[in-house]
Amino acid sequence: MFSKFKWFISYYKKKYILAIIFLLLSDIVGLFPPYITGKLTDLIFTNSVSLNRFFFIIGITFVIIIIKYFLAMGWSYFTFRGADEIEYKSRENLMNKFLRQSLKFFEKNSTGSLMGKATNDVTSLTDLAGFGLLNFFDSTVFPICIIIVMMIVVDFKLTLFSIIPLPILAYLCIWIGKKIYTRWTLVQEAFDKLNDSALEDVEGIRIIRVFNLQKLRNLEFEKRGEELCDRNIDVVKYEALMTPIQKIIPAMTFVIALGYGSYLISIGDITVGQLVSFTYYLNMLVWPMYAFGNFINMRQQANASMDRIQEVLDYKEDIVEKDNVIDIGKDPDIEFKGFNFRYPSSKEDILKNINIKLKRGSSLGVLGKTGSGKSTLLKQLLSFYPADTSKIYLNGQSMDNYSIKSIRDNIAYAPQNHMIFSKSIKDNIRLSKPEATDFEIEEAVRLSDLEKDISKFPEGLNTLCGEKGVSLSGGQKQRIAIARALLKNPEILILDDCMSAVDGNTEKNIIENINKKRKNKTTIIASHRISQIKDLDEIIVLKDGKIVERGTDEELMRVGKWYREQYLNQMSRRRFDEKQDTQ
Amino acid sequence: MKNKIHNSFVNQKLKEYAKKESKPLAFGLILTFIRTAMEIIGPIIIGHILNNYIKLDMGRDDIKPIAILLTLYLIVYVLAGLFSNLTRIAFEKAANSIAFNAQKDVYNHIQELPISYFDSLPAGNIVSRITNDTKKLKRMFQLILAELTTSSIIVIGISIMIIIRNPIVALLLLILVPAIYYIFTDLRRKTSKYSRLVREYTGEINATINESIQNMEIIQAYNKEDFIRGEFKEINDNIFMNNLELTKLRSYGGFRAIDGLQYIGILLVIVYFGFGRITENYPVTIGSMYIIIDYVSKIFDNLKTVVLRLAELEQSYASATHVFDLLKLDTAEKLPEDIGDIKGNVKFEDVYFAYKEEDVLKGINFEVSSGESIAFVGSTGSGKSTIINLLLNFYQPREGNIYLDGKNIKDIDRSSLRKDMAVVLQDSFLFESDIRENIRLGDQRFTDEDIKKALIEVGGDSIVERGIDEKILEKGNNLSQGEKQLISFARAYIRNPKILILDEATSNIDTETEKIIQRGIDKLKEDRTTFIIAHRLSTIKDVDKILVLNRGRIIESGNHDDLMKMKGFYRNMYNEQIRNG
Repeated sequence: MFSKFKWFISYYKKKYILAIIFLLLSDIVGLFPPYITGKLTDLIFTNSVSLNRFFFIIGITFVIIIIKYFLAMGWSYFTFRGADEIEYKSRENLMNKFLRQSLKFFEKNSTGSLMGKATNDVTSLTDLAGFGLLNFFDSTVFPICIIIVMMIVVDFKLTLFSIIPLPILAYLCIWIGKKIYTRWTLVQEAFDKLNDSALEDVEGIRIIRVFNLQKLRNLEFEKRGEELCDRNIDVVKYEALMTPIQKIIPAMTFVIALGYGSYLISIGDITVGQLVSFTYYLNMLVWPMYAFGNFINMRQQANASMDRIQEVLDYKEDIVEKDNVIDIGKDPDIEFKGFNFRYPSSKEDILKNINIKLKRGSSLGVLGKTGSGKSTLLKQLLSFYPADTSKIYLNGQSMDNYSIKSIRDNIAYAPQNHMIFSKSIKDNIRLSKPEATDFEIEEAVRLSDLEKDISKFPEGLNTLCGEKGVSLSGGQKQRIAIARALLKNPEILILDDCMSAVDGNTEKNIIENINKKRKNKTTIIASHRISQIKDLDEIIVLKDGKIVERGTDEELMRVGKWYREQYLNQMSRRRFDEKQDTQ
Repeated sequence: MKNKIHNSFVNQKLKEYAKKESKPLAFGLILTFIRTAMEIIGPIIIGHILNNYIKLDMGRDDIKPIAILLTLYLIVYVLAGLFSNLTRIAFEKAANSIAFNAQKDVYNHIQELPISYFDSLPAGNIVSRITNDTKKLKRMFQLILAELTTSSIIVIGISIMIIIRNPIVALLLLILVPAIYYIFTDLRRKTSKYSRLVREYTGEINATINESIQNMEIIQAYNKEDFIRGEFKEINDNIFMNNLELTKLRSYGGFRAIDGLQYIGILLVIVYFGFGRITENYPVTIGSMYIIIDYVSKIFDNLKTVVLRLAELEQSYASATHVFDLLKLDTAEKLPEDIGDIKGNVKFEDVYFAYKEEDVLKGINFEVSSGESIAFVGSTGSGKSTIINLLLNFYQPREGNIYLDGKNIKDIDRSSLRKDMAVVLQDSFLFESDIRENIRLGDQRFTDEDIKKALIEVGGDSIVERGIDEKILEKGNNLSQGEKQLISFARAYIRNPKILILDEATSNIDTETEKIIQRGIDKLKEDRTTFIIAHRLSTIKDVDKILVLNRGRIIESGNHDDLMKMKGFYRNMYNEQIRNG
């Protein structure tokens, strides 16, 4: 019944045992008060008790109530704590799994679907572990205890006849539950439609206003809203069916109990007090019938959620290191020998027969149009995607002999799409080196020409980025990413077209700083602007994944067709910007 | 409490919405009262049976009244069930209508908001206001009506009944009231505190997970998985700690505590009756003891319902107030003048504009006469699109004026201003309906023939062949960029606008399709004032006037030939494109 949750049950075993002990004790103790009430009724109304004895029994009952309260408290605590822990654990498991995955995994699974698992699916596990489990025990252990006691303490036949309507109640609960479920999916659909139509209207707000479509769209929206409303009412009709059933079926059990009970009293089989106790027990049996329906629903949802989560947790890592990998030392020579690459989703190779030799301490510039494979090439050293790493050599040995972590330790990387976290600017920069001193951070800020911007922010380096904070320009975000890379002062620096939104002067400053700072250090820069890479030791031009031109700036100006054209164009364009800046 | 003015606004709005549904609400309330009466009568019947008929050695004569009374009992509960069913439906209908009305209001309000509102918020957030928050508002009304109101009426009704039947027991039970009060305040205080924290941290952790997924490259490139894991753990720990507080509260307080009090209440009733019977100080019957115990149980059962819903109520109230925050935002100012039919003379006079602080347009001056075409070129961020945004009065200039046919557009009603304008944007925006509807946009005057003709005129013959009934899927994914743009062109063309605006209309299209569209554009330009923003300069060679923008200023102007002669920015851009094209 809970096979999918074995992992959690074994993790939480001890506390569950405690919970069950508390539960059993609490259920058993809970059976005393109704019994005593009936007994007292008899004693009082047959005048067979003294005042002292009466108060003595009342006193004992009071103590029992207190004990029952504490037992229930224990049971509740350990059960709901289990819910809290399963929420904690499953979220943690998911996050740990995410952090271990290659980018291929994230290509296969959309952020939306992964988030759905970490939020909605985790919630339904939590619901099952808390209220679900409560409902489960309330609808199994508890009613069994009650029925046994009713049979022993009052009367076997009376019990049997009286509880006949109860299974009907349980059945109806499940039946209505099913009806509601199918109608509920219709509500969900209508809601999604309403959402989509509202989204369309917000995204297309300009078109709507230009063409004066407000009225028309409004009617459309109202139609959707009305549909949602109608479908909701459909569900309500079934939900509302529960209320008469809740009233009538227990009333039927009462009628049977009192009718047959009167007869039993008449022939002297039971006392009035016993019948009173009996009605209390009957009352206690009503809730378990709903609880069972609730539990069935929650289990169904949680099972589906657990499956979805498990699917992610069981995903086989795309990149598995060999068993005997070793750590690479600092600052390796890098070589690509006939390297080809394609993304998991792509049909043809994105990189074709790449041959590059990059001696330690030298620098490489990668030029090319969008889509030529620049970024893809730069990412290879970082092992983001599964690739044929036997064609990449570090210090003359194939790359898969080394641990990925030790290779990444050598590298600092600023990506094309800046990747800023919702933290302060300082923390964003410091991500590459959390132990960095303020002085080091300021230095990195200076090198990436971010100083003048920082002084404009309300709280300087402590200004928050992201949704909650200031909105940064593209250029500012890019420079934060550069500062982050420079702070690490890595053996290998990789900049992937990360100055596209930075203006000419700022770019010049950054390039100058980098050239100075990175003298005799391995540096790889991809760009579509020649100004960023022209001073590097070797420049390659990529086209459709192939290297079509290579050499130094000087050589390429002589022989490189594409390079020369780009150069002339970009330099003349730049003059206009500079002219206007001086205006 | 923190914000009284806010709360009074919310409460007033809530009342307004409730008032509109006064009929079903009144109906539901009346039924609740009747149902409460049923709940009061039921135990009295049982009490009567216990008092008068049940005894040893009953004969036939005794059985008969018992049978009658039990039948009566069953009828009472069938009626109670029926009434509570009808109440529930009435209340739910009211709650749904309220949500529906609120939805309409929010939607209409959003339609009236200035366009800048849409720049600063992601579309998803705005939509959530319209849909999710109004759903929460509905939930709130459901809780208040179906659960809380009903429970309160029953609790009050039955309490009154106890007081009437047996004032001394009522007094005795009064000693439980402080405890109940304490349980409620403790529950409210702690749930609102801890569940708020849990919600906040949960929001934070979801943002963290989301961000980590999106920035995974950086995290892995810098080997910072453990660092991120640490941060994640800290928030997760916080959620757990606060959840645990709620668990503790749930274990000792709220439902559990009320449940304990219920037994004590019953015990008090027994003490009263037992003491009376044993000491013979006052007369008591077994029947009335049964009745009072049943009443006490009912009171506590309903209190338990309230306790279980209290936390959810607070939460849904918090969300519901978002709805009203939005309704409080100022809508775009209504403008008085109707411009009537326009000719299409446009004049920008020393226009400055800034979205935030920095000026995006700095002293723009130009004039276009009716029927002329004008193009704006320049790099990204040069201010081209801003000119269009101002012309459409999505924004107002910070300084300077814009005239249409000599009238300052700042006084012209926006719908009237845009009546004779048509726009084609870079991202063709298609609605999820068929092609026909996307062209005629609800205007029934356009026949299928008109629509086909318009498509053919702009070069969309292939679309006509496929049929204008074709459904457009989400975001137009079943059409190519070119086809989508052709539909946008047809949409503009069919309206025969006096002013046509093409905002990078061909940027996302391959050159093959662009050639087809170019013919369409030429057709479109005839007899109207046309504004063109273009990336590919080859597409604007024959417009009447080209303005070259750089960083918010016009740096060159003239027709293509003039500009090429100038050997300036334009010529440079043009040559570069020819080479790369």
